[in-house]
Amino acid sequence: MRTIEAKVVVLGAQGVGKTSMVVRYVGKMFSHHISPTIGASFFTCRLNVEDTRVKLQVWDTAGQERFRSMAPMYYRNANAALIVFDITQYETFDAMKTWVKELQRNVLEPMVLSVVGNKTDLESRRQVTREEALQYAASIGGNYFESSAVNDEGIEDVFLNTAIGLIRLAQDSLCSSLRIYDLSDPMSPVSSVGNESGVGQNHHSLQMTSVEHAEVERPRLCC
Amino acid sequence: MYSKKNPSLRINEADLKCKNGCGYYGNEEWEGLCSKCHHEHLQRERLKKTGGHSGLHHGERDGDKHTKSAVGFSKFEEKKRQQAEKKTKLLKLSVFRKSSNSKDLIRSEQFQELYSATPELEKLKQDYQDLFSSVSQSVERDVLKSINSFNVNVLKNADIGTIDELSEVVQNLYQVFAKRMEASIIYTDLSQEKKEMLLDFVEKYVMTGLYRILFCPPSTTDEDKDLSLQNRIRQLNWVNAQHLDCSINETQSEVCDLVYTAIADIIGMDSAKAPQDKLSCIVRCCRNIFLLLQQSVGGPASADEFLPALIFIVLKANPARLKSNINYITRFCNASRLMSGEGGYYFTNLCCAVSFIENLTAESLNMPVEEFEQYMSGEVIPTSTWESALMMCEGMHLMYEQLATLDDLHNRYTRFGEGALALKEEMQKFKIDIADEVAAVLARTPLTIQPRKTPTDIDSENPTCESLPPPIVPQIVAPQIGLEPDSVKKTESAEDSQPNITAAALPHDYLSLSSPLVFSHSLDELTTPDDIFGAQALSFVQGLTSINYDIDLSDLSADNSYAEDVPAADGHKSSAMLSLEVKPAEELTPSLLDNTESPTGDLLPSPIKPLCTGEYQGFAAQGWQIHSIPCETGDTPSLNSDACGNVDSASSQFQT
Repeated sequence: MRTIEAKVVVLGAQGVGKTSMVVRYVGKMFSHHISPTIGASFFTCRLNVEDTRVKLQVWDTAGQERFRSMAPMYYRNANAALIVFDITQYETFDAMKTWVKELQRNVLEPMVLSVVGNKTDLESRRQVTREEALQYAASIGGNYFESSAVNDEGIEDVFLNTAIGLIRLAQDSLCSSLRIYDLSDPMSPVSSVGNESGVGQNHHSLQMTSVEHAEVERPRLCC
Repeated sequence: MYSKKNPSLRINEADLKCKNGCGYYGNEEWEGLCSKCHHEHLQRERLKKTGGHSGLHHGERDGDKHTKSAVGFSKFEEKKRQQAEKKTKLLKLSVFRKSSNSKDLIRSEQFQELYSATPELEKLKQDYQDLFSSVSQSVERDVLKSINSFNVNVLKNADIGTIDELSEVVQNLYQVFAKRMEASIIYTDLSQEKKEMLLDFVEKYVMTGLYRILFCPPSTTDEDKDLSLQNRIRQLNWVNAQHLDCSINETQSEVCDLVYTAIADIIGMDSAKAPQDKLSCIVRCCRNIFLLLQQSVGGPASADEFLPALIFIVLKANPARLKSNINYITRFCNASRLMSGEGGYYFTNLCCAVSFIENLTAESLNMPVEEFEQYMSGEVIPTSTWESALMMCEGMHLMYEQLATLDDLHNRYTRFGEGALALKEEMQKFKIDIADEVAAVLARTPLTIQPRKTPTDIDSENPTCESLPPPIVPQIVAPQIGLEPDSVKKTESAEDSQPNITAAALPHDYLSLSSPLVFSHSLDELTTPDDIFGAQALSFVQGLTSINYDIDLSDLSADNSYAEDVPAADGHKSSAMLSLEVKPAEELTPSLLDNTESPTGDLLPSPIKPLCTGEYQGFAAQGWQIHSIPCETGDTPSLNSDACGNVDSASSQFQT
């Protein structure tokens, strides 16, 4: 089984719900294993998509304006970026645009970009329309998702799509920082981990259309 | 930095002055000259100078004092660079130049001598003992061989390349070893995990050995950067958690403790040697920060809160040679592994924190430029700096601790009180329970137990009862009584007047009086006061009591009625007692009364007197001790006597 190890940075202004989103995703996966209360800004999780195992290292970042200049340190060598904004605050959408610009300027290698409009549970106070966000995402060559960390909606899709995008990147072998292993070695710790039951059902197809129906394999490791 | 280079030896102040007499401090290592004079001296005969590195450090410190006070920082910087250059030369000259001229083999041997025996490497080997015991010897040999060639390779490049080239060499060597593990047959049967551990071991071993050469090499400006960063942090010591918008509750004791732990962790980074160990120090520090944020925020902390907190910790810790450490890790930590995983993440955060501190402006703290400038120049000191918070914290800490102790005591007290109450209740309940139980048992048992007991008792003693019947003969006792006290009979017969009546009266008296005694006997000896026996038994009892009576007397003997005895003893009446002799004391008194009342009494004494007085004093000695009986008899005999009187009168009437 092929394994892809990728670094995913989560960018976005302060208070848009970056951490809650990640914690929600990882926490749900591990609710019965580990309480993700400590070290809530660095996670690893694994997804199985078709015959590929994707190990995601999720790096949460500080969103404050004053730390903007440090962002390049975080997304150096990153293979994917989740750029999060708050649909109820238009300025976070604007701020996101500058994040993206900076990202595109600083990262030369291709990246999987995902634009996430968070807080759909506050639909009544929406300031950023879905169309506008979709249009913007398309303009930067990324996917747009809407999610709600409170109601736990749409978060899995974000990570799943990121994983699928990463597999594509690996196939095109455009990205040198992406770590790809061919782990046919049965002794490898990755495949020696149990809980392989139902693998067939957990596999995802690469077609984007069928993603909604896909299931995510429970990640097994988290820090 | 200064604290790191404490002089190992203290000398008298006078000896410390420069030999040239310029008034500044001199240094032994500089031939007793001050830095300036020595510098001039050096200029003249530069190449003649030889010395140890430690000496340079030693001197540097005194030089610091001197130049800082006299000439200022810029001069000091310049001088330091010169020293650094010199150090480079010395290093090259004394260690490597020579070895690079010799053969590789010799150098590696030299290297072995230099490093293989250090305690750190030994300890490292021991730490990995388990790993090596689980792999084959060929693997171990190959690993050690790789380490050797690694060292040789690095040493070869150490004196020619720049630090960046050296870093590249090291990174290449890591990759070479990793590939070797993948490719070589020796390693094929090893699990991925073990390979990772071997990689760890090689990295740690090599880096610990080469630490002195690779860490903060004199060819770089790392040390200057360290110093400037340190000064920068010192200038910024007024920055507090509020400025950084970071939610550290400085007054909470747990948070304070965690802050100290985090600070200790980040400071401890400098003492670790292998890049991985340094990284793990950073990871520990960051985990503590997350813990303390959790305490302060009351929930999972996010990166938005973490970075400011890390900056705060770095500002307050001001770790030694921070920049050097960061550069060392960046250059020599296995790059492919550094940037993956938790260590990499936290390391990146630390780099961010440092970069933030270096580029800190008024804007980044959200404060007016003038205010920032004032703080930086030290004109104004903000009211709530960390230090003052610490001062306050001392008191607060103490208070919190004592409050906690008080709470604890209070808790214990209440628990104790509750325990006592519970115990009391339990006791009361127990008491009631027991009372109830006893009542229940009593209600149940009187009917059952007594019959059960008595029959068995009777049964058991029946044989004795059977043995007793012969005494039942006491039906004959009536004559016996008469017979037994022969003297009495004689005296009575001598009386002539009413012998029968007194004799008849006596058993009656006796019965009424002795009945309690009988019961006591029955209780003691479990004899049966059964109804069956009835009057027979009573008469029989008389016989018994007549036997047992002496025992009762001794039992009942009390000391208080001595006075009563004396008159009784010497009077004629005592002689009247003699007439009753074996009869109990009670009988004596009635007879006495009878005697006193009866005129016949006067007749009696005279014949008895000589006989009894001597004999009876002994008896009286016992008799007078029975105080209660005479009292009772005092009443009853009077009745009896009345009865007797009546009887007498009746009999007299009858007679008449």
